[in-house]
Amino acid sequence: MNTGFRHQPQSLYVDAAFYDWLVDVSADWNASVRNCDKVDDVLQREILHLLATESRLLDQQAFAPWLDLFAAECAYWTPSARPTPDPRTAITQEFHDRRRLMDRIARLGTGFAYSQIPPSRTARLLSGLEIWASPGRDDEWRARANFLLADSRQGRNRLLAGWNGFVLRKTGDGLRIVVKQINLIDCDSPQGNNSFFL
Amino acid sequence: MKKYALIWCSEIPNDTLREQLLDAFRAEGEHWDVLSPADSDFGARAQHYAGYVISGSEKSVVDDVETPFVKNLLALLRGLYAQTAVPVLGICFGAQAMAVALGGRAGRNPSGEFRLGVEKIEWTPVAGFAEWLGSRPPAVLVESHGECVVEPPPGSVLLGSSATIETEIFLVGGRFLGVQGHPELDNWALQEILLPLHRSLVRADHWAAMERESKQPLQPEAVIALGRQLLTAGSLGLGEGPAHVRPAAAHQLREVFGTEIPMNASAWDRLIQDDRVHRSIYTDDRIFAREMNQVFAATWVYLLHESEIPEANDFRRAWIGTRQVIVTRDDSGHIHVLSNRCSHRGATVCREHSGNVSIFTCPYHGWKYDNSGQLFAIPGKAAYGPAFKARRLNLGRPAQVASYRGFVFATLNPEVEPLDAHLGHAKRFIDEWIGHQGGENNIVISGAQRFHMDCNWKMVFDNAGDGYHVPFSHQSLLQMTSERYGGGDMAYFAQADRSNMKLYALGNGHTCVDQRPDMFSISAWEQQRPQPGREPFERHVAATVGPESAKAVLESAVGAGMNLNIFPNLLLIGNQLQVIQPLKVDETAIHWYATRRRDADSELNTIRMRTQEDFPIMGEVDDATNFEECQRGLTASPEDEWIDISRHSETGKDIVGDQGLLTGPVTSEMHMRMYYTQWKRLMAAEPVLQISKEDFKR
Repeated sequence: MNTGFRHQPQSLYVDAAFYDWLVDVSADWNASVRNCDKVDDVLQREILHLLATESRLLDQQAFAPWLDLFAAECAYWTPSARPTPDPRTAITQEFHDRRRLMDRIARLGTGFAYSQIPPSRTARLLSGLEIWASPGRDDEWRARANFLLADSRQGRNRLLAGWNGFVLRKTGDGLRIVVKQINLIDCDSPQGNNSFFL
Repeated sequence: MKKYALIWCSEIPNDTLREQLLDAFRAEGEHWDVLSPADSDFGARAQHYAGYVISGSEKSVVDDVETPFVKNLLALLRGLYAQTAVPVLGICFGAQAMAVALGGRAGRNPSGEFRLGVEKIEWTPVAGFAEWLGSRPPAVLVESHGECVVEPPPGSVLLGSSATIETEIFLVGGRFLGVQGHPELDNWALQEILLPLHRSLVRADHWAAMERESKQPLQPEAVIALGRQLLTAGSLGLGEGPAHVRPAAAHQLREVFGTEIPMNASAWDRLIQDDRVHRSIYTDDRIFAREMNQVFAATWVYLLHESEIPEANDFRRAWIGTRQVIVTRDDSGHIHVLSNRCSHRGATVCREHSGNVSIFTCPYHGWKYDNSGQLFAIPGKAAYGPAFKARRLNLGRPAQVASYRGFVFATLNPEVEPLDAHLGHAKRFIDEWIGHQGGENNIVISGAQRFHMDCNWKMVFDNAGDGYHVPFSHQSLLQMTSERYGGGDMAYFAQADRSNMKLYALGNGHTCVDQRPDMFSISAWEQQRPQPGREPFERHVAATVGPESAKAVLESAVGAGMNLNIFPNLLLIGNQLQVIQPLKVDETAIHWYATRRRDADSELNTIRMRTQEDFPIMGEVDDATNFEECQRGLTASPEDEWIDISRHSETGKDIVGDQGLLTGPVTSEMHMRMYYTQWKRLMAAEPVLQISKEDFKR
């Protein structure tokens, strides 16, 4: 698979068209009116299970199986302003492709990532899940749900809150997360130690 | 012949007391002069001695502190401490004066009674002193005092305590030795001179006990030997070893300073030394409160970049330390800095972080200000009279506002030098940073990452010029980069002591860590960890610009290779502007502003965003944790007083180099030594802080 690039896996998919699509999806997550009728109950349950698993694996700091829930060409995106700016013209708290997610996970695994020694203990609640089909596709859905994330580290307890936007797609490996966007209610305020994954 | 001075502070008409003091501490071959603080030319005459002994007195450093006598003595002691390296021995009143002069406190004896008799002094076996003491027994001294040292000066070492008072014998800075008792006096002097003199001060029912006590055998030899060694050697070299426990230390500065922090420079000289600084500057909330005036309001602080308020009527909130201001651009393009505080009852008139308005209306009673701060409407103005109407009630404006090439600064100090002069040598580096961005009009601020840390703001500034921490604090990042990509960004810090990078001192507390010699020696782009979309961007560059300029485009996507630190609150790091916002003594926000280029296409600016996101989440988080853990350690262990900043101060590697700038290895702690020099200068000063509420005149 090595094609001469020293940075593997390559990040060929993060191009102008991908950003155009992300900005479009982000606007869709923020719409105030949507029709969620077309998603059948079986798929609803499958997506709910996937998102619950995603949430639990982060609480368990099981980052390898967590990353397996993501499609090969994926994005993890934490905006740092509201309304969500275009990530091409404004910095985010975090914006990762698969490769940089692997960097993040590898860093945490070195045993020297002091911001997570000891690790943050987290417990997440997801609620108010809405799921709707991506326009013009029968293999891809969008979802939005509120979260509460309790965090305890070194005697300090915090409660983070916000909502997540997801894009989910049927792949050859099964249902996978293509995009996860984390919207903290205070994303434009100074943040504490969020060096784990939100 | 070495010349010493006995500062004789007593007016008792008995030469025996003075002769016993001289006999105790005078050695062969020395010349001793006897001086009095009552002398009109005392300050001048008391200079240039090899050492001093300050005697006891009937006076009080508390009650008589406003008298010329005590003032002269305190001024001498402060001057000797701050400006010389000579030893001083203070006996009884002399020890109390020493404590007060150096930031400690004297007061009534804890018992409330005049103490006259004989006291056993138990030694404190601090490092270095225990060896000197060997098997010497406790000292037994004559005591005669109504007052004593109730709080020793900050940084002092306690050498001996009695059952009556804790601070019997103490040492400050290794060369100011205070002794509450009278090692020079014998039983005869106590019985025949001191007892009769003080009879009226002693309770009648205590008198018999005192007469009995006065006959007890004395053991002053160790104290005399200690004083004699100090006067000969110039210092005792104690208190530099492992810290000793002093129970009062947690609240020491609070007690010492009372409600007022002492204004004398020597207090700050003790907290900020050439090679170490005192923990209290990170933990004492009254020092923090003073910093908000003396450091933040009284010097130039960075507010924002002009590109953040590009259009007429744009505004953004900003901070001068903990003071909140609104920075506006009026419809003629002029930039104003206004206090966010209604002139009526004090409510903030602006409650949004940024926006575009021409009028600020106070939500409480509807007073209206235009965006130059001019008050132009008060509801129901007929209810006010001529006295009110004569007042100037516009929004407050800091004494000075200025921009340097798009960077807007302000200060409340009308007397601080112009911004241009304040930036001084830093201007060359700012210019080079701007050059990396393609010019001052090419920079567009593009959002911010904001972090909150439970640490003092100076932890962030300490780190800004620290090339020493990189392979340790960022070990996870370096190891990951090495394992996944065979090395890259910042790997050159592993051998930083021998690298080509340089640390420059730029004056007024400004410094620069210049990584460019290593970062650009091969290719900064090649060394950069891979960003999302790196390969499509490389293809885009290859397709849109010729090979001769492709490298320049790629290099402009990565950082400027500098950590340029503008004291106290602006750090130019890579392509980002980091602004330090102090919140409380142990809470700090940092705002890490991203930049893009006006002349760049979307692809280049996008990759700049992805590049600038890399370090904060991969590296800054570990530094932030270490800052918080420093704060935790400093707060939890008050008896462990010092923070070491001496790295490379004794290797001779900090040299005057290019363009006359003090230059050192990037692992030198010269950055801290330099900015603390400026910090100390600012903290000791008493500047005028001003806002103007006059009408704005264009």
